[in-house]
Amino acid sequence: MSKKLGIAFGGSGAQGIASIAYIKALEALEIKPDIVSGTGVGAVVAAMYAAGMSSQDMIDFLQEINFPGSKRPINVNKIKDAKYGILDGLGLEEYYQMVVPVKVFDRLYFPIKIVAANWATGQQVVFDSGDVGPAVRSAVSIPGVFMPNEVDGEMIMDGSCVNPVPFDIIRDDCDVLVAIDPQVNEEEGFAPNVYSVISGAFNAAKKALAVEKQKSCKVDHFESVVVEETTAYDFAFYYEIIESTEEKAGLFALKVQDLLK
Amino acid sequence: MKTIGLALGGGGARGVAHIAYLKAMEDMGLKPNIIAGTSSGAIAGALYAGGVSPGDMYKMLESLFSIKKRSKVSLIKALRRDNVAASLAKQFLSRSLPKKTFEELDIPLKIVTTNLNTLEEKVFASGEILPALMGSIAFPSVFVPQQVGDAYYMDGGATNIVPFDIIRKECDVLIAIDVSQVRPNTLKPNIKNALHATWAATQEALISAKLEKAPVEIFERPTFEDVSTMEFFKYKDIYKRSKTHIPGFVEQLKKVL
Repeated sequence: MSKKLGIAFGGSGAQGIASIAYIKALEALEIKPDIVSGTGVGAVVAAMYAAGMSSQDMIDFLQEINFPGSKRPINVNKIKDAKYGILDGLGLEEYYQMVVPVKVFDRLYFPIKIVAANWATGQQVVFDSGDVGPAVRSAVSIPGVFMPNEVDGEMIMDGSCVNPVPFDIIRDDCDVLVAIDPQVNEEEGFAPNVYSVISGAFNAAKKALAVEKQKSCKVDHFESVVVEETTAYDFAFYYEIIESTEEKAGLFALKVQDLLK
Repeated sequence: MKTIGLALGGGGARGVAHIAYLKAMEDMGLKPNIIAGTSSGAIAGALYAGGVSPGDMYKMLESLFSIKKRSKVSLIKALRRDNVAASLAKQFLSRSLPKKTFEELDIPLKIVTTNLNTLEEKVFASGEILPALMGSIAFPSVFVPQQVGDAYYMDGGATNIVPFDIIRKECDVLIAIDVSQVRPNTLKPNIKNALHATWAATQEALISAKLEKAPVEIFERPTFEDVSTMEFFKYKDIYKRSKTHIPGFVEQLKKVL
């Protein structure tokens, strides 16, 4: 009997796109997962993957989106009016529904678990049944950027704050568990500024959380992906992000092949 | 005799509560055998481990923050400029710390900071206390990070807000005092609360993940709904309200000992 493979995709803004390089590398070795989890951008990747989209399909999806240039100033008036977040996730969900071929959890090629968090209680919310669209939209609803998504009367937000790389929720569903954690790159010896200190605090907390969870849940391989010279908002550089990760992803795939033996 | 470990969490002004807990232990004739502290918990820990009594700590607060209303405003203004806040804190701490190095302390102490370069927890337990303390209290956006060697250190609260896990192996009875107040009761979903909501959720998840691996005998979480992190001027109120948690705490402590 062959071993079951579980993959957890972390979410970390644009760096999460690096996960596509890993899917590409697994495709090359004809390795398919038996269960996948994800949060943030990792949730989008997981949902597309389980809907039967190939890494090339995902790249095409990114190409279709006309990302605003990273230098484009944000409309300040819009922020003043925004009650919950700068962006409404509805457009994202609609677009997702249009592009992704399978939209219901039950019909996916393999089961997935999508992690989000309840705004009011701060508790983790796991989606694994019903429609995928609202789950994905919830999982990427980074507070302040997107409005929280209302699901059954509860306000649901991005899950990376409670489970940045949600491997623990699929531990019992697989034999070989691997986690892909796209991380934000901090330059060495940099002098901190207010922005880097605040974002640093958040990233440090998430990193600590992933480390802490590994203490009580064994991961067979934890892959930290550092994408050089990109910020969490550099979605427009998706091609560079994928390309720069390919070599590492190739080694990762070989490692997974080994683990599955 | 069971050894006691005391983990004093970070939470800015709410850390005043630590004084009440230290006082309660003192009244029971108990002294912790090891202390770990983060942020304002690190200050309380460093003072106590250096021999400052809880009563004297409270007097320090009085001398710092009993100012007439008018000068309060200017002090708040001054504190808002991060360098001013940091240098005031440094001045106060270097004057108040009875012992300058970890090695001289009466009780072993661990101070938690976060390395801003590696984004990992860094625990200080030897050498000079002041730089470690300045790092541990460097609350993002209020204080500037502390440079030690090549690395910058900031608030330990980012990686370990209630540092009980780092002393779990060194004591029989572990007491954790959590004043982080991670989740206020009323947190409306709006842009203003966005950072707070994610931050609170992460902290909760981190604490519960740590508790799974390092359970504690006593976990205290006094709540002060309306006290925000920088409201040190409410020290009197905070102290008074923390005292309402003390009888329950004493009861628990007697039980586990």
